[in-house]
Amino acid sequence: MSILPIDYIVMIVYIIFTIWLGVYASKYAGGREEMLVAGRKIGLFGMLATLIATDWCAITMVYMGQSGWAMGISAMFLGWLIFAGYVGAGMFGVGTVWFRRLKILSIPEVMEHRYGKIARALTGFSMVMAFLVTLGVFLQGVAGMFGTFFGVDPRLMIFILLAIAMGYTISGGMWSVILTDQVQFLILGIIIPLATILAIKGAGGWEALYSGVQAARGEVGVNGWTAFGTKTIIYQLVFFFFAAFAYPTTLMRVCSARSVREGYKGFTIGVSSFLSRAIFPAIVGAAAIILFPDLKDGVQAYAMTITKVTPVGLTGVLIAGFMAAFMSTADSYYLTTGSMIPQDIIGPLLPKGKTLSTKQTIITLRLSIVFVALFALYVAYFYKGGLLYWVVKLAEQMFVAGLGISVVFGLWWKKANQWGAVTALVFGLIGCAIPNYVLKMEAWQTGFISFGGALIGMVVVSLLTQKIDRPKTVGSIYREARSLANGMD
Amino acid sequence: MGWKVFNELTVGIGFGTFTSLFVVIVIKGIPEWIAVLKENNPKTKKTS
Repeated sequence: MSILPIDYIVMIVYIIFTIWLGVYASKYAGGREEMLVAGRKIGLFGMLATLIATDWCAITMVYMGQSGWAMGISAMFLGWLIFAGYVGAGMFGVGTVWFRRLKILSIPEVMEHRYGKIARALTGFSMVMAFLVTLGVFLQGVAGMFGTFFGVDPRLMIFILLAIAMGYTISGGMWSVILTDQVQFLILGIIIPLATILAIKGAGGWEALYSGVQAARGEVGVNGWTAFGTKTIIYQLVFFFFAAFAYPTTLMRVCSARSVREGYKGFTIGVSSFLSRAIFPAIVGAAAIILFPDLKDGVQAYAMTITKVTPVGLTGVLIAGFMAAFMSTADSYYLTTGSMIPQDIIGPLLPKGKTLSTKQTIITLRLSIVFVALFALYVAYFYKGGLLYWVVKLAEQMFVAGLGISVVFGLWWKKANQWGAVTALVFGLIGCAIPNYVLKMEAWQTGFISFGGALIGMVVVSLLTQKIDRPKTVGSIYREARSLANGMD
Repeated sequence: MGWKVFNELTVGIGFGTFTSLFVVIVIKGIPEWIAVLKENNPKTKKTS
């Protein structure tokens, strides 16, 4: 591909603008709440924009593009599974309301309110473990994408991307992330659908794309049920239902909302975008089957298709848009993961009565972000996995099973207690790590073992330990949490 | 309904929901966001 000087000018202007935005936003980050949840002052539409910008990350384009290349148009079916799982969880709404009402600064904090400090520290640990893997894989996939765009060694791109994303994440906290998200939402909202239309056109139109994919991939390329199979479909529905109670990037946006009502509405409306975020890149990836019949590595499918179908001169805008998509997600993940180390692992393990001061929290947070970035760098350099979609989802499975089940049971089953939750978290983590990383089992098998272990652990251990840890009602938790939150204000 | 129709519906619904969401957020979100930034500007923010 050819990148014209005008494209480079667009990219440089964009990067300078983003850095300026990060520096500008840093003046808003004065305390813990300002740093981690933007002072809980974000309105409904601002929250929707940041929610979508975060979930429409560049890595989603890469791994859904890869899925589109591997499975054809069938990969779009994943969008329905994500949508259905989230809508199922959103219908109850209680999870998001509960999280926002508790005035938490990180997701594991909810576990302390309901189950105690050990459950919180364990949740923080399992989430950090998962995100260390996913951040590295994100970096690897996105560096491959930009390597294709620029014709540069992806290993060099890893360093460049990491440096850019870290710059304003460290300086600005959540204000920086959210302010940048607003601008990036505007760019992504135009670029990503436009790129999809261009890809369909480039493949010769919808009919040509459809018949070409069917000829190359057979029934699997167009029939979602055949492509994934009943077991995987059930697993993914269960996964996304519980993920709606556990995904920190989405839920921390809810916690940044100005009110409980706006947080709930934003979450409920925002999930409708999850369908299109899977559909758009899957179509672009499927177009690569027609445009590059000899392509061997689907990771490059999205970037290669885009560079082929984009008219000269628009390339800079597209690349800047994907740079935006990468930064929007990377900063959010670095901040969320980095904040868990002081808040949820170190904090609960401190002696009784001792807490980190605001200054100590911010210093530890920034050091944690550096640690997370270095670990991500290591994974990005050395990790080799299969289809990126499953690498990411199975890493997230390490905390989604234990945390999701603990939150859901914590809300609706009064006998759920600390020991049940701790067992669920341990079984969810081990039940995923061993089948996936050691035994190399199928994704649905790993998922069922992890969810099954967490579920049985929660029910059996809670029932066995009722005498030493008495049941609580959700009503008392609300009252307790509100008084705690008011006290902290 | 065959898979071809289902896939076409999926594409239509995907584009439709996103476009509606995008337009609403742009129209209502930009003024809201400017107001939030003004209210919380550390230089002009009133301390209670």
